[in-house]
Amino acid sequence: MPEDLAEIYRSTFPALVRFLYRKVWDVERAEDLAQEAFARAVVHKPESVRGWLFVVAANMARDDARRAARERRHLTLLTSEPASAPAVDEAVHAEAERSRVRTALEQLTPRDREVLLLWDAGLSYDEIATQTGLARGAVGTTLARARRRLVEAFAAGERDEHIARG
Amino acid sequence: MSISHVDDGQLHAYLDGELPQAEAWRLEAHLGECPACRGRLEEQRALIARAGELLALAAPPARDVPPFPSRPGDAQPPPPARWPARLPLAWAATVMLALAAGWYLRGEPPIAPAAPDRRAAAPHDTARTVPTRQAPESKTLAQQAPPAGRALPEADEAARSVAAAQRDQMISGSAVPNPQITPLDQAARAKPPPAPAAALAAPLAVRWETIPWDTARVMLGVEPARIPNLPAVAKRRSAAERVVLVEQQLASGTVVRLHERPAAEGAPGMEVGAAAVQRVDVGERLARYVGNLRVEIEGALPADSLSKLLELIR
Repeated sequence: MPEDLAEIYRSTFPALVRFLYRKVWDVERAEDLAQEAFARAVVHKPESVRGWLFVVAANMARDDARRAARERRHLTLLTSEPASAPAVDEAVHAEAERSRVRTALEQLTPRDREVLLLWDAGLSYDEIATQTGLARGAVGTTLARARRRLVEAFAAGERDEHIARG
Repeated sequence: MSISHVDDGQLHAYLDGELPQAEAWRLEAHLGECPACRGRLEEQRALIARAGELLALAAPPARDVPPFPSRPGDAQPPPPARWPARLPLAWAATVMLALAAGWYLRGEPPIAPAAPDRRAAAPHDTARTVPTRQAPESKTLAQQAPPAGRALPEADEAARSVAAAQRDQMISGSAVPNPQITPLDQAARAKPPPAPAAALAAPLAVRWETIPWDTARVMLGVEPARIPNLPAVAKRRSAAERVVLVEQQLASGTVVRLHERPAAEGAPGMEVGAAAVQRVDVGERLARYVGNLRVEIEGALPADSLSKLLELIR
């Protein structure tokens, strides 16, 4: 493996997993996909490795999501199983928060979400522009909108839950 | 400076440290004389912080970085075991039985882990970071596992019928004795197939007998592993061999088989005490190791459900 790629792997892998996790919502799956992206980079030797990795990862996550949608009925198979051990309150709380953020993220437009996740994964405006086809000057505007909508959607979700709970 | 107010995009780019230097200076000059824009700057700063907090809530748990993947495909997650119910069960059973039989006959694992779980191995496994070390294992896999059903064209038909019958039996849990000589045996005798196939073919007639749960517990010395809240049938191949097979049907067409030996003996192919979850991708059927347990999944089961399932077993 080329030295520089190994270095990029060390520095970028966690960010790539974070990026993928917000798409597939399964950390093991996200790691598998991230590893596969790097494995492909070994073969393809792209010029701009980091940007390339995120493009490939995004594509893989999209394929993964399509397949998951097709098989959603199977997913219900085991989710109805009672938990083997009572989870502690903190874990329940964290899971609820995560699920709220996920719902909020899903209310963003695909492009806004993509730009936000790429920025959060550590890509620069230049890299984001290259990857998404946006003009560099539009990245800030897109990010501003994406962040505002995320925060608003999250707050709206919390409000709805409070109303629902009475 | 009397230029128009700055827009949110510029403020975000500025706060992100991504505004080109010249623009940043212009913006700062404007902020210096425009309280309204200074207020907006603080608003946007708070917004960025809040969005970051929210994203952090949805971050994956922190984990060690696994070893660098050596080849494409090594890290590829196994495709969800997808056996459409319409697939002839006989074929499935043929492969399943042939694999299991080959494994027991040889007293070795039927398949070498092609893609050992890197997470479990990450802290101590250095061998896997060397790509070439994996090649022989992969070849073993290729030789041993997949051709089981196909290596015997002349016996294939016979095998299908036998295997189908046996499979039905296994699932129903009944203990109807099999014919002493199966069609497959005859085919195998009439025309001895190549050596590896012979090793796989003969024990197709081997049957697992259903045993009481108590007996299984005694054999293992512990409560046999099973998925909670799901009917389970315990089986064994012979009284001499201390392997317990627990079969559980998740749904029509999806069967989980847990092969377990007494803890001291470990799972076949695994070092004793290796608390690793290993997985092996055999065509479309999944075999994984959880501790000293060999888990086989037959039928449709997406990766998410599989992880949950393995958690339950653990």
